[in-house]
Amino acid sequence: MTTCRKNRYGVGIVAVGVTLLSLLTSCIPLNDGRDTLAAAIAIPLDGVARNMVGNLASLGVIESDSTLQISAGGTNVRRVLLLRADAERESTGVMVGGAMAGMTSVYQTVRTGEHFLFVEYNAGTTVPGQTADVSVSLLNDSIERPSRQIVRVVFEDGFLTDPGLLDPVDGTAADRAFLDSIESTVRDEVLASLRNLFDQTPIDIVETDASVAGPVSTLTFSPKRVLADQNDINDAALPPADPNRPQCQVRVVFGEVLPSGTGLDPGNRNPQDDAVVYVGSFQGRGETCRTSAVTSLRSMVLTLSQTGAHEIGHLVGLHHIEQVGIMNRSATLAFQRELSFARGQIQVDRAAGNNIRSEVFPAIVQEPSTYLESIFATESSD
Amino acid sequence: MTRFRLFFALLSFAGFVAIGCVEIVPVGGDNPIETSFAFTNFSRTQYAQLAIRRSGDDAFAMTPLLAPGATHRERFPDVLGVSCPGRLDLRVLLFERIHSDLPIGEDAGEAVADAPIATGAILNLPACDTVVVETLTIVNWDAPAGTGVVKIAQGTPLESVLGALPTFDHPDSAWTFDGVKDELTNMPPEALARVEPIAGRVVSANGNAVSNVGVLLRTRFRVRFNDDDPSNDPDAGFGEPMAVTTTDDAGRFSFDRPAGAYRVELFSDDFQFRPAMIDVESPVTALVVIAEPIP
Repeated sequence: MTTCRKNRYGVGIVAVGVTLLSLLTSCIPLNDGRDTLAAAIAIPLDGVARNMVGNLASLGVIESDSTLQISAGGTNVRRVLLLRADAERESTGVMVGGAMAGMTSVYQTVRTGEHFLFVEYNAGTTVPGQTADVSVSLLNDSIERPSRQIVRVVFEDGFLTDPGLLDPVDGTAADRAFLDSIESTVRDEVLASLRNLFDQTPIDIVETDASVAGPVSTLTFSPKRVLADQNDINDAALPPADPNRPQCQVRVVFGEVLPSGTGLDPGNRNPQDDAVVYVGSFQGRGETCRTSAVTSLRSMVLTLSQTGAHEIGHLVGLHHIEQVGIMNRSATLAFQRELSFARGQIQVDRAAGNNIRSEVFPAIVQEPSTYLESIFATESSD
Repeated sequence: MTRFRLFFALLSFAGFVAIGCVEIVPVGGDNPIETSFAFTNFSRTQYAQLAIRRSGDDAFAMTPLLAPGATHRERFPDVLGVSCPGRLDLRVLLFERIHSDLPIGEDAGEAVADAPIATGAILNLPACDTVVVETLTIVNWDAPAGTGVVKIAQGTPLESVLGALPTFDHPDSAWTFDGVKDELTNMPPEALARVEPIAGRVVSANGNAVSNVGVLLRTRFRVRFNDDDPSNDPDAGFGEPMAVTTTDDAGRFSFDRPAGAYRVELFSDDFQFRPAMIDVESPVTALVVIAEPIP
């Protein structure tokens, strides 16, 4: 069987909370990730700690409104996702929850169906190291899922000009004056666009000074330009290869969940986490590499709002997807049209020299509406 | 089998997109990547529709009738029931407008002839059994009446595969056809594609609405392109104005056209605009243009 190459978002965090389970472990046969969900090995829901090898395990058919408690950890484990058999396609699971490694997490199933556990390992973990300590049990008590996630949007001072979208090399005083003059308009339009994108979802967008009750995540538009490390691929990208403009081949980070390297918050377990959009990363340096962003308010609003929406997606646990949509890794700048949170197969991008290597998990589908319905208390259920 | 996807490279606000390729490494089973297609009509005058099926299947699925500039996007799982079809059969049908003397925006109903003026058909077009592309693009270029030029999978590894086939012996590796195939002679046009908004606002730098600004719409077209031959230029552009409106008291304007590629232009005796024209891929609901008084 072929080694399953694991996904990674930039500098992998070290999984914590290892070996928190019982010494009474049994071994689940190898499932290196090439098997379909239909062939996934079953894990009994008995709360017994087991050593799972590979990515996928079946939890069997679970009724709606059941409460699952899942513990998963291990030296190389990064995240755990809960999947439900996809109604649209065989051998495919739709993401309905998740948690970081080392957490003992509780899930409330929303719909009846076969469920699966997907263990995501740290980048570079090869088959011998793909083991997780897992226990799954059904609880008698139900849990109360949160009804909303509030996201406060903060625009730092000078987010358009310091340097923001101003090119400090060749930008003119007129450029600065123009950016200064439209700062409040950009802020208002980005907020309006974000509200529109999250309309009909459990995610509420509020302004910086809004008074709110309950936990709040924060999305900050920072004026910084952030260069990416060689191994840092958190929403980072290279401009297109252009032999005539080698000086423009600068890898930058457009945005990320904080602290850097977190990648995303599977299952939205932390309702008070932070993300940032680095506005300065959207501008090149020098006349040759400058973008025309400073001449188009529409480009600014579309780019900043869709990048912000992308990072909010990560804050609530959405992965990159292969298909075109807000959560496509290249969505923010590349597609100069209004995007939506589309269904897609989760994707992981790994730096490989100066290229980006995309790894897709075709068996795992992210359907944002299904995911949000699963992690938030919404009205629809079967 | 090689798997690739389109990777629209970044940091280029000015150009629409710059295309490169990034390897896709599917992990976790033999499930295929869920792919889609986009059929675009970049003719200046003719209306186009596409019939598509997986090779070996009986029935074709038909796109709506696309006006100039329009694009129809659909996931293969939704239209063909497969995530990534190995080979495809295609039919492209081109129709002439009846009221061709009117701008499209003033031609209520946009009636076309009952039968196509040109049709083309391809069987067993290599697709996912050769190269996987995330979105298979099928673009009808502008061409003389009675002929068709269709470019498939431009900018992807599949393009070179197709270019080696006799069907694609056009200098730009496009597929050309003329006349009407017998079996398609009486094929009627489908219903027009549903319209979507191209909407936005014109505001002053401090955000105040600017009314009575003229807004004009053009459709994108594409003709034979060969950048080694300057006599071919321009090989793409935007056609004659097809619709015009003015901003209302809230500075808002809106056109209802099928999703696609358009140019929005602003004009006024009193203001200059940043930018004065915007190339959009619709639907768009939140265009924002800054108006500055002409000194």
